[in-house]
This record gives sequence, structure tokens and C-alpha cells, in this order.
Amino acid sequence: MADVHEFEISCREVWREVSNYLDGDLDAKLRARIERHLKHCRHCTAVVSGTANTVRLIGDEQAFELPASFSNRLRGKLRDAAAAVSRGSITLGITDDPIELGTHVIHFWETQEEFRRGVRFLEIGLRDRDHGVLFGHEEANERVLRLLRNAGIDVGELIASGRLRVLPRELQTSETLVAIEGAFKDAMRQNASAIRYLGNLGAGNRPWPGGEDGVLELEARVTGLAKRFPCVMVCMYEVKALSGRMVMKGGFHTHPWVVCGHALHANSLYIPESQFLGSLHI
Amino acid sequence: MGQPAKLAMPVPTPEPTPHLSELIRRIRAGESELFYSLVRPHEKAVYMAAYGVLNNQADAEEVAQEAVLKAFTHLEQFRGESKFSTWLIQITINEARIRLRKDRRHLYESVDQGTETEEGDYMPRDFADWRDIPSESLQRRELREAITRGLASLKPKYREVLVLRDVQHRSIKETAEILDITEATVKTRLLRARLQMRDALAPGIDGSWATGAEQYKKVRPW
Repeated sequence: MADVHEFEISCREVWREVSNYLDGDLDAKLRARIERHLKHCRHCTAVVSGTANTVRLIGDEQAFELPASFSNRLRGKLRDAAAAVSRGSITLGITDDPIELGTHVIHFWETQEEFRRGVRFLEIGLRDRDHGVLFGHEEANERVLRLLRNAGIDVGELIASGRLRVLPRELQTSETLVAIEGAFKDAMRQNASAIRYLGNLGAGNRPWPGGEDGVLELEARVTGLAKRFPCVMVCMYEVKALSGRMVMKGGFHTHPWVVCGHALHANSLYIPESQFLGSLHI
Repeated sequence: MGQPAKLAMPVPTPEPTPHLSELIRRIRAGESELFYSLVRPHEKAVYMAAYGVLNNQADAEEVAQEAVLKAFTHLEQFRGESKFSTWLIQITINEARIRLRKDRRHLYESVDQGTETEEGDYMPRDFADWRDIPSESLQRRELREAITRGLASLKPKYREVLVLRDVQHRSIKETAEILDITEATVKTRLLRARLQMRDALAPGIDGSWATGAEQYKKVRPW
């Protein structure tokens, strides 16, 4: 090691300045002291020249490569996104992602914040010109409406004008499907360009009239219904209140899109309607 | 030792500024398919920025795609106050950090083995003299793998600075802007990252990367 008195500056001080020295980011005096030190200290010379070579090597174009076909995959994703924009899409609101009209999405929630984000799906559309359909048991519907009011949405006016329709969860599966389709048709008669449907399952509700299989059938058929309207249908599942079977079959098997945490994902577990219904023996 | 006053950094590819605003205007007007041409010059930078945070090829590619899609859907938020590439890389770093927080693997993966003095300075671990390694050596898989391993050995906060500054040749100022930290912090982290990378490449420092020698002679001053 070089002696500090002999070279005015210690080895440690040199190491502390290696990076700035290589970047030419030192005043002339300090630079001169370092260079005098380097003339006599082979260890520091090794550190400085080695670091310079490291920087040169990692900065070389050949040091890191893109994974094979990275560009093709990125292009494909962008092509899909551009196609969705041209077919018509809305911002989901639960996340910032755009979502193509005609889709059915599952949003699993556990915390108050996740529930609130689910309601934001309706909120941002109602602030704009979209129509909304709210479906669920009374407690959940009231909770959604309260959050909308708290966000400054004039719920009463929207219901009166027909831009927001509230459907109670009291009917059997086939009647429920008819009611939802009726609400969508009413919205279309009012020239809706986009319909946002928010359905709730769980949250301490009473048992579903048609049992679990009734819900599963409704969920599978709703995916087909969604394709016929300029709508996005979001189902909110309270994971703590539902059985594993409902989460797996009702959530993952019947919704082509899934929101987990803060991200929207194409759902690879989705099973097409006819195949799914066949497995239920309905 | 004839050290150059400054490292001879490759000149960054200039942004096609005369056409950029026109390209963005057309994309905003509905020509969505043009977005890839806007992103193409920066796709490697996007990938490497994500990799710098995540240290995993598959995660970096996924986050790079998400970041580009986010830029596409939020293009109206790009005001031209910074370069398009700066904005794009900022989005990428944010997305990668969100992913890193969700996936807590990194908490168990840190192999940062830095030796620090009492004052917190990084102590180089090896003093073997470094011969100039020609760029052609990078065609050797072992050297590229050693660089990748070296990068992986850094903590994310050092790795992301090193990637932006030395892999992508961004200025201290732009690196600070992207990471939302001060220039002084960039310099501190860069010093640590560079010295640690040098130590990580030490088995080749005595020239084996250039000569193919298998024996590595460590040099310790103590």
C-alpha cells in the first residue's frame, strides 16, 4: 500500500474517487494528486485501469443481448393492443389498462381498497358518458352506491335518467340472464357507446337462489352475452367469503380476463362456455 | 500509466427529434400501428432497464412488454418535457420496481459481498493488474456470463445505476432523473457498482479473458 504522506493522497481516497476520475469529473488539483499517486502505486493503478476496462466492456453493445425473438413478441403485443383500440376499448379503472369491449373480467378482492378499486370501474365510466349496470345482493349494491356517492357521483340522477341500472340478486339463473340482457338493450336504446356491468358475489350474502351451480352457469353464459354488446362485465368475488370451488370454477374457469393485485391478465385457465357447461352436467 | 482524461464512451444514438413529434401526433390521431417504430430504437434499453432492476430474463421481458404497452395507452401523458426514451425508461423502472416489491425473491437473492471500510467505502478485493481486453473477447460466452454474474451480484440499487450509466451510456443527470434520485447519489452508487463489477470480473483480470489461460493468480496486497 502506498504511504499517504509520500503521495499526498491515500489509496482509500483514490478508490473513493475512481469513478469520478474515469468520468473526468474532478477538479484539476485532485486529479493531479491522484495521477501522482498512480505513478507510484501499482495496486491503485490496477484498480483504476481495471475499473476503466470493466466500464468499457459492460458498455460494449455485445456484452448484453436481447432474448431471442424479443422484438417479435413485443411487436405482437403491440399489434394486439392496437387492434383492441380500433375495435373499441375502455379504460378498466381497476387498473390503468385498456380493455376491449365485449369481455368478461373477474376481480378478486379482499381488502376495502381492492373493493374500492373495483367500484372505480363504474365510477370512471359514469363520470364520462358510459352506461352502468350494477348487479348483486342488496348489501353489496348499497355499498357500491355509497362509494359512488362519496366519490361525488349523482347516483339518483343517473338512475332516474336510466344511465345507471341496479338489478337485485333475487332471481334464478335464466331470469337473471334475461334481466341483464334487458338492461343492456335498454342502454343501447339510449345510444350507449359503452356499458359497464359490475356484479358482486360474496360479502356475507345469503345463499344464491340457484345454488353454486346456478352461479357457475350464469358466469359461463354471461361471457357469451358480453360478446354481443359493447360492454365490459366485471365480477367482483370476495375471496374470503367464497369456497375454493367457486374461486376456481366461478372465477378462473369462466372469465377470460382476471385482475390480480394491480394487474390485468389474460386468464390462461379460462374454459370456453360450452365445454364448461358440459362439465357441470347442466 | 497514460490514463485517458475521460472514458471513450460510445456516442448514444441520437433521438430522431425532427420526426418524433410528427410520429406521436399520428399515433394519437389513430395510427396505432406506428407505435412500434417509436419504441424500436429503445427496445433493448427498455429490456436492460427492467433487467437491471429484476435480474431475471423472463421477468425483465414481461415487464418490458408491460411498460411499452403502458406507454402506448398513456401516450397522451407524454408532454415532451423530457426525451421520449427518458419517459419510456422511467415507466419501465417503475413497473419493474412494482414487480420487485410484489415478488420478494430478491430479499433472499442478494449476493452482494462487498467489503466496506469503517467509513462505508468499498474496498477492492483484488489488485491483479488488468490488461486491456479486446472487444472481440466478448464473443466468448464465458466472459459474457461472467459479466452477467457480476451484474447479478449487485444489489438492485447499484445494478440499476450501472445499467443506465454504463450499459446505456446515459449521463449522470439523466440517470438521476430516471431514478428520481440526486446526482450525488448516482455517483456514490456508481462508484460502488463499478468497483464491485471489477472485482466480479477478477478471475479474468490477469488476462485470462484475453489469453485463454485457465489459471487465475489473485493478487492481494496484504
